[in-house]
Amino acid sequence: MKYVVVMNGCAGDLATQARDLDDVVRRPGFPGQDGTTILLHAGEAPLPRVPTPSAVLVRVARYQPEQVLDILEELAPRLEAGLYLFGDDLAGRELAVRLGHRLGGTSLAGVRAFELDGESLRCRKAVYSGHMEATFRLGRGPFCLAIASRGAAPLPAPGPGPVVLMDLDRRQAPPAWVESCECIADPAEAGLKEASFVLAAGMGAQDRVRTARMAEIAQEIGAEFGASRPVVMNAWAPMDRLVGVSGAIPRPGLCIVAGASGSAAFMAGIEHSRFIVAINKDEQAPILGCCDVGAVGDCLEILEELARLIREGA
Amino acid sequence: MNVLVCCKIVPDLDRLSESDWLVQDHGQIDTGFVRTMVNPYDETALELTLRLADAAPARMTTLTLGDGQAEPFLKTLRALGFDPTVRIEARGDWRFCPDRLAALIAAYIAAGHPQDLVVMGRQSADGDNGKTPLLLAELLGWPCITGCLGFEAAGAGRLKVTSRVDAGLQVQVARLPLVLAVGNAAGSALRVPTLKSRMLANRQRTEVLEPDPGPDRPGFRQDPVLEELTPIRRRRAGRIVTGADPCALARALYEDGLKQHLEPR
Repeated sequence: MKYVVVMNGCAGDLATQARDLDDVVRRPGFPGQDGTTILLHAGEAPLPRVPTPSAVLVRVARYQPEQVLDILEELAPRLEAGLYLFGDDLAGRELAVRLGHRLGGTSLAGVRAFELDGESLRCRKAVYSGHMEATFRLGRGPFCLAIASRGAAPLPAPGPGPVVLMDLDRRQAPPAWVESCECIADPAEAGLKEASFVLAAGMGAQDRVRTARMAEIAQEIGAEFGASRPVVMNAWAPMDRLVGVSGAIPRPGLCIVAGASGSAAFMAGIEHSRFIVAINKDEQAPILGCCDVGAVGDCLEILEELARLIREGA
Repeated sequence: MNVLVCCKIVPDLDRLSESDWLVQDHGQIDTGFVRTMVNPYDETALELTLRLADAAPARMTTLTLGDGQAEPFLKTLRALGFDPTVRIEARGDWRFCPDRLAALIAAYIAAGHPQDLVVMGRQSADGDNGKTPLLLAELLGWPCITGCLGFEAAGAGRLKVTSRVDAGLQVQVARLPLVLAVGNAAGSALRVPTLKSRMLANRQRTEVLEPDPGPDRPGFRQDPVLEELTPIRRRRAGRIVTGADPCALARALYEDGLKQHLEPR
């Protein structure tokens, strides 16, 4: 089955996309052959390693979903792919679902694993806010999948570059329905996704002041600060600090979880951590069964002491 | 401006303990013993729409698919100014059927309920499909802005929309019609109606539309099809350290694993 990988070079997480999609095509039993990457880019950054032997480069003014979908639809008859793979970020999910509809195929977002079974594709993905894993059978191709990150290892050194099949310049004015558009870059989120050390706060932080102190501690000990959804929804921490199914899914070597009960949606965000340390005042909190080592007590008091030990290299 | 907000009533899944996740016949999970709530992303969609209507005239309709469990929530929404509140009686298993749901919403709009704006959460807590607003936009042939964090009127037939994109934030002035898929917007809990408006809402009724057979509809072919559900287990060693005070607990955590996983700075 021919396949296409779509990468959005206009996003701040291109390295994560490249890593995750490369991981997918290298998995044992991957059903795709003769793959092509469609790389959308704004011509600013150097082109990254792509996971396929050939590539189509498409220069765009910016990521504009309706225009990108038109380009993908136009390229589809030439590439004749039965499988489209996208990253699991906002753009990847949007493109997978809408392209699947436009090509008369089937789409699924958040796919953790998949295998070809005759003419159909069996896919596994998390449902029920990360509590359950569902297996779906997709019958109608082309199959358009947004692939969930599983925290793959960093890419090896780049090999030979891909054969560039086409190098298209599709810079154009925004569609008529967009009267103005302003983008505000936010590099912080990408930093959290790639962090090797994370300190994540939950509602046990209790208030905005204590949450801010935890963010300071994170900085003092060299960790990226993250927060659960209730914390950011209360505006105790900025939204770009969100860890979980709808936020960053980092793969740190060490993750300290302070005051988060361990809801499935949050756990999905930290489950790729190599080592999890949890602090919670409720000894029944689910997080204490899902960590490597934990302590029961006030999260900020213990964290202050822990930070002192880390700083001093005790 | 006519605004349609689509919302779903879902179980509060965080109230289920690990042992409650039992798969029954036909891949069903019994969640009937926990409280229900408006799907969190949909709650944000409802509140953001109320803020739009605070500043500019808007006729707000809310549409849900569900059974009588939705009624107390719809009454609250009537008290907040949504008129009409519409419920399509649900039959069959709709959890993983966003294609059919999007078609149903499109059909409602086409059946004499024209809209300028459709707002809904990006995904529901149970199905986690994340597809309905996107498929609706495709069916209507309208643009869709995802990751929406807020919106306000920006002159006749225009909306200023702030949304999260993968590279940061985006602020667009967009011409209607539009579909907005609402993401995580801080400080967007649904407001509480006054007692007076709640009593007034008692006088109105939900418009209940003909039941739709959903995935069982003749001629409709569900794709993807659910084959299996299994609980995700995330258990780890969970060694709990002991100590007389925060200082001792921190020391125990530090010595019992944390230190070995610190990277040299």
